[in-house]
Amino acid sequence: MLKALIKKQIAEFFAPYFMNRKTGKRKSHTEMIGFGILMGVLFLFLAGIFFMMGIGMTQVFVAINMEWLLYSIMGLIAITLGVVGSVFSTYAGLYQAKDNEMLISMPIPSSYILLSRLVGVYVICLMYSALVWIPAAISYWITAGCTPTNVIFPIILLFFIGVVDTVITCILGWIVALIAGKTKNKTVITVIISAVFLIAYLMFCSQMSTVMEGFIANSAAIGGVISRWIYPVAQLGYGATGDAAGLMIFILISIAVFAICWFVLSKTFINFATKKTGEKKKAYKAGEVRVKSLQKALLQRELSRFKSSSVYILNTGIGAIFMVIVAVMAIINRNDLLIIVSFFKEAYPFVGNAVPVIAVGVMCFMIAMCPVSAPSVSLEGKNLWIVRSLPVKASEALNAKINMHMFVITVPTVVSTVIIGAAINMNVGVIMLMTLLAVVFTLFIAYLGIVLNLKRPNFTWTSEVIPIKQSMPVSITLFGGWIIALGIIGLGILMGGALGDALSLIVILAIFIVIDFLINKWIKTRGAAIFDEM
Amino acid sequence: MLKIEHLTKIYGDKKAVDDLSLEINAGEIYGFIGHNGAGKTTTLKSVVGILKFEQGEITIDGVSIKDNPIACKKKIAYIPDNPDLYEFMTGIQYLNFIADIFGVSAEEREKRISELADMLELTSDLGSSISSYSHGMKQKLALISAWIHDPKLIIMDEPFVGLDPKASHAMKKMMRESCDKGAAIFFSTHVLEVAEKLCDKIAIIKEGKLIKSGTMEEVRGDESLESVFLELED
Repeated sequence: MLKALIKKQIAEFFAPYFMNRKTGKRKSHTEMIGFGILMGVLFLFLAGIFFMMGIGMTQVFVAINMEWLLYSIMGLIAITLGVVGSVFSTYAGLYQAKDNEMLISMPIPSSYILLSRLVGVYVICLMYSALVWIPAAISYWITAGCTPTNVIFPIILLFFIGVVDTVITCILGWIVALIAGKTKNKTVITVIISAVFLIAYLMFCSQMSTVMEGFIANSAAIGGVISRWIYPVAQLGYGATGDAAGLMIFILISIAVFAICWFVLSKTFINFATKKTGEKKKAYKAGEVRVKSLQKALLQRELSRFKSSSVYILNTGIGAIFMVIVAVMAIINRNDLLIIVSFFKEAYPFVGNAVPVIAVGVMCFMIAMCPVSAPSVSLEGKNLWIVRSLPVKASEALNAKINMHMFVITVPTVVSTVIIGAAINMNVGVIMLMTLLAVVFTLFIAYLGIVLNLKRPNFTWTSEVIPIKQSMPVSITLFGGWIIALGIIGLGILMGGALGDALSLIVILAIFIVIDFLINKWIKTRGAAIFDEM
Repeated sequence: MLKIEHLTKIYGDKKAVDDLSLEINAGEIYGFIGHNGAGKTTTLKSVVGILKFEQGEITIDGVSIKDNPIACKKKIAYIPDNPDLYEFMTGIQYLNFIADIFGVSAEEREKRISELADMLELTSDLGSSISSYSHGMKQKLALISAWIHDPKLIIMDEPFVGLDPKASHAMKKMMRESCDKGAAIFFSTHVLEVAEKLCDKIAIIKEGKLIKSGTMEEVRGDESLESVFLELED
């Protein structure tokens, strides 16, 4: 029984990547290989960043005989990344899965249901932690050499880092569930808590290089603090470098905290999973009618859907938070930015002339992190029959999803781009061009999300986390958008020397206007036909 | 009002509906009965335009659902067997959404919501989120949303499931009144007693094929509908 539940949970997690939702059959080998390559490239890119960090630290720590500190620091980062990467989905996946009540009504021990859900959380945590830990281990092996223990032990420890991650995300998810159960407007509370947590994490990351330099300069003192005050993390470091005692201690601590977490969760799981959030009956007052046009009604529906889900807001609106942070930092560090711009204009004019395009490219990077439209078709879910049975054209329904995306993302995009343009001393004309390009790119991301979701819909999810966080349309919109943002920067650098900044912006703007026009045409014709068949 | 001609719907290599033809006139309540998996839901969804079909034609007031689906859907209201409604809306928000789609004026929708919600005893729950509704309450809300735009053709898939006796009675009254005003109703049901008392005409489907149809008297003769149904199913 437990095996069946875990199998179901894993299958649900991976189904979007292996199954064709339309036909219910497995995807072709070509498709799966293609997707595998895409994910592999992305994994390597991110892992490369952590590898470079690891190499820098390893060389210093090995030289001063404190190799364990590398693993302790990278272990902390791995745990943090695992928590940040999975905390948004743990609450929804653990306590709000659509099949909770069905499973609870069956002769299945609730501990089995809980364990199968935890396996899902564990897999996500492990994936994020591995992104940091494996490159750290490789950097250590390259610098310090390999022994059987210093190769095997970090591999074993990775699986227990996943356990610690799971415990922490469950605690945070439990806190969210506790607060949400007592509040009426749980979406707002969840979004605020998560946003505060994320901003704190981002502020730490923004100071990362300063922190790293501090770590390296004060490694002895930091090592002392970690050994004394964060004992498990110290043991993690020792264990990863081949110390058997450190390995066993960290494993035992992981198992102990998991056992405590399990005890608490198993006592509260059914309560949380079946609790109706304390909503008081709101009286209906006649006469509160505001008649809307069909288009506005459809848009309102999409916005209501978006606002109702903290998972949706946080996972697809995260780029908007980054935009605001980057804009604020651009103002705060304006002088530094201008110095950097002047340097490039003198030393590398072809880069200096491309500064506005590079700035927009950075904005596009963040715009790509807002794939609001990408899960919107799948999120129709079991409600699809409503819009399909109403006198609503498919193109109107799809337009509403695109309009919702633009409604949510355009304002932070425009405001941030204008601020960044002003911070780097661009004239009004160039700022306008930058802003136009950012908006046109926002539209491109909106269209891209819709196209991909039409091609790869998923209406049979039991938790909205699946279409929002674990779907191919969202992944490809995000990572594809990043690659295209890099392309914009590359194009700007190539053209900047010959055309100058304004003309480069105009050329790229023209390219994207044409692309948007063509995709829009596709959505209105072929895309609408696909939606009509769903 | 509704004409189904030689409708055939194929899933893979299985014919879910096989050469089905029937006609429903204005003012008729038309029942559709058959065993589980007989093709009732497939037929109803094809009429509403949710499912594309391989062969045949479906017209509503002479307009083809294939050629002009929007024009057809403006005249139709559909209630599925398990109405999954927007749980992120309140009851009244959902009704206003449906009314906006159909362009129902503020006065008309207020009047209809007030009457129907009172009849189905849902008024006090309209301000609450649909996520807090029981199955029966969702069914009632779906009924109100179907009637809110005064449709000419109402398609319902097992509408009596989940309704309390009072609501069932109210719905039968609504159905009769609508048909007396010229609308037509086409619904599937497993509750043969209700079909016997309510329907003007009945069609029995088995394994995708229409095996009997006509007025209640023509179909059942001197027997009960249940006897006729069981006989035909064997």
